[in-house]
Amino acid sequence: MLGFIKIFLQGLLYVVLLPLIILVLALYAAYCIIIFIYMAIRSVIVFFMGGTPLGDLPEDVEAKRILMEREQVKNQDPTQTLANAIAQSSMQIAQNMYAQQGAPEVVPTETTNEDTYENTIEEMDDGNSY
Amino acid sequence: MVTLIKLTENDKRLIIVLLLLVILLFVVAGYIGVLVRKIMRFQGSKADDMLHDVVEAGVITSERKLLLFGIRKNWRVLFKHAWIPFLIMLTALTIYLLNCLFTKNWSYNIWDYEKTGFNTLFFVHDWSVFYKSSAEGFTITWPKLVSTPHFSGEAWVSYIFVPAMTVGGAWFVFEVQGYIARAYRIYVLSKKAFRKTMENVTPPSSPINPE
Repeated sequence: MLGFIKIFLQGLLYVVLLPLIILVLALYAAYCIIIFIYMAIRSVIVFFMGGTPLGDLPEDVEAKRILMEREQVKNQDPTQTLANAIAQSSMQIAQNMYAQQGAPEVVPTETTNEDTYENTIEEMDDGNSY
Repeated sequence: MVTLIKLTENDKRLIIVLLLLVILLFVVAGYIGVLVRKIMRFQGSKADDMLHDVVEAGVITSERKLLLFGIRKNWRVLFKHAWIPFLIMLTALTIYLLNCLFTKNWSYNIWDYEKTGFNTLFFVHDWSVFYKSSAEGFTITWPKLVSTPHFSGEAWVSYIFVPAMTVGGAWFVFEVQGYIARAYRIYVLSKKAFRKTMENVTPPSSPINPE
């Protein structure tokens, strides 16, 4: 009975608000027609300029790339990851050994090209460059 | 006690029937409203698909950017969904206008029931005599039949124009409803996605600066 009364009252509300609902729908319909015409003109222009009219937005492309990279990292072979870790630690040990023997420090791989260039120039100035 | 209105047994029955009809109307309106809300919820769920990846990947990091992105995506979805009904309506309108142009008859009536209109396919009654009120009361007489269904060669444009515009228009209104549902969902999601909540936050057991 309570459900019936609830539906009845909702119906009453919808009937009272019907003119307003129709007005909002009509306004949105007019807005949507304008958007449709704008999108149609835009799509034609983009098509004749050689683009894809309704392709992905730049944000979508970027998001897909990031998510794909994450997926690749997640699905990476664990043995390969272990091999990479061993290779990295071997490199670290070798660097430490050279440093103890007084050999020039190996330029870290994490540095950018610009940093590497600046380090090289400094080493050349000191006369330690090979 | 002064009696203003004297109701006969027949009048009472009529009032009860009318009351039941009104209740039925409101209940049907209520169920239609529930159905429309369910459909709109389903249409709005498309917005979740549109916005999920960009938020998950961290490409969009603010409420305003998400709202603008959602609006742009919604325009595209509207265009993709609405081009078929739009094309149907445009074709119907073109046929109508070309017919008017070639026949040089710009007063072509698509609702006519004798020769050129869509109403040639239906029974048409004269409703002006349906209800008559006088000093004695009111009388109801069954309306006079004016036209019976028949095909008319001159009405072929109406036979195309009216159904095409009805189908295309209803389809387009359905897509507009979908647009509204998605726009509302985008607004809600943009407000919710980056909002900080204290619901699941517990203070640390040993505070840094105990008072």
